[in-house]
Amino acid sequence: MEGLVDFKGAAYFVSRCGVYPDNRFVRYYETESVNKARDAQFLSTILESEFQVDPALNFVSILDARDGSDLDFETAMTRRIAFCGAANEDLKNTQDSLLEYGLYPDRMELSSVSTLGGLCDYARFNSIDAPVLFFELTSQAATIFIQSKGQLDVARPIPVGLDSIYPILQRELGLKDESSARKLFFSNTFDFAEMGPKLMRKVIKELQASTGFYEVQTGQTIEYLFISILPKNLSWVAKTISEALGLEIMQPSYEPWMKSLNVKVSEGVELMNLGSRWMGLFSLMGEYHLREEVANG
Amino acid sequence: MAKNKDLQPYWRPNVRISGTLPDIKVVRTDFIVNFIAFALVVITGVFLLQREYRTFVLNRAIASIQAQIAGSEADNDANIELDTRFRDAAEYVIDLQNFYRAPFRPYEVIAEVTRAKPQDILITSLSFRENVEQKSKEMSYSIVVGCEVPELTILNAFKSTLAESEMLNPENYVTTVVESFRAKSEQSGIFPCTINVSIKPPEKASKKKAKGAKDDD
Repeated sequence: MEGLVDFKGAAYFVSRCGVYPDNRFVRYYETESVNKARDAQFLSTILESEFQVDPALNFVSILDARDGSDLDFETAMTRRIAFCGAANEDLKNTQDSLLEYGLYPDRMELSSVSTLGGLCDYARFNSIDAPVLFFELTSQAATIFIQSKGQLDVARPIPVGLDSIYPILQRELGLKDESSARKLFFSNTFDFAEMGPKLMRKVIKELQASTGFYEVQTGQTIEYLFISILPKNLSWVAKTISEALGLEIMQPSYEPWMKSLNVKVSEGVELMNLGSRWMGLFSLMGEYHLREEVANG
Repeated sequence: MAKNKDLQPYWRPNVRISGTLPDIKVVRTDFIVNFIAFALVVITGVFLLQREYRTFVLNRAIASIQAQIAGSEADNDANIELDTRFRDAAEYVIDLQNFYRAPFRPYEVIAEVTRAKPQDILITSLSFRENVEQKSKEMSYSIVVGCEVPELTILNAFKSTLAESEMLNPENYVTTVVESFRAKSEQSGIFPCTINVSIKPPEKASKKKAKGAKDDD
């Protein structure tokens, strides 16, 4: 870490950190009435019964799904809410890891949520009216988000991750074990474009179910696909899914959006060439509420 | 609007666990808080101890003084009683001294008045009084002679005799003789009259004289 940044003799480099703890969660819920959304006890019960999240063991943040603001139990006027958080133990371990790397978290944020917020604001800023499917695929889990006009409509986990692909790859290519398959999966030596649909069949099935249900329920057609975290050599994943679902892959144009957020980059940084993977980083800098206040004011 | 600025940025909840983070302040200030708290405790402790000690010392002094008072009470009562007896005795002594220092005796006064009495005068009463002056504690004497005379010239003669009497003009005293008379009785043809002989220490007499001289002016 000291090779990347100047610690200036200090023990820690104070940073704003986005993290992906293993047991993180983001869930969308729509209450029957506004009053229910103001009832903390009710929401706590929902969290346990609907999403199997124990508030005593997890750090839970409740947001207004329309704009991502903290839910105020006294003044909230929404029925649409988003639960997000992670197990306390996981957060503690993640924070300890950061400290071991010499990073002192001035803020520690869930990248799943901040990236989702960045996408929502990006869609709102660019007046993208059509719903966007945001798919977060990590090793052990995946989450489907659908946002429309900057508002969260769906946040649903699916029980598959990259780890579930390796056995299929091993079987298809006749590899000796899963670790060989994993190694091959992340190498740049093999073109998975042709094999993609087979490897991603389970994932695509889940995505089709969710998007189909959403489109029937809302009457809106999802037009864009946004995949955030995968490296460039796994770009075939986005291509496979977009082809399977008939969606256009969203290629963010960061420059005007970041300019609107008053975020400036060094002259040497070429924002034009940066893919969707960078949305997570830039989202940690977005102060969307300030821009909305200016617009509303 | 201002209130919103205090909220978390949208879509960015902070999940940091502050309690387990190390202190990275360049100048550590935590110890100052502890130091101030410790100093306050010590100052308060010293103040309370000092106050308790003062209370203890004062209580001990009060107890000691009360014991002294209790021990001296009997002596004090005895002294007061002795003093009272002494004062009473002193009164008697003063009375006796006055009596023995008097320039004459009452019976000598009777004899002198009788001697000075002209033949045609009838003495109806005779009183002799001793007085103690309040301020100077000196003695003064008053002789009042009640009498009846057929002629006022006899009264004047009696008055002059008394005024010139050697015994009634003792040393260190001033003697004043004043006569008074009432209307002549038609039935008996005599004048009821009174002669006052006042014998006083000179200071008082001179003052009175001075006052009389002023009145004359």
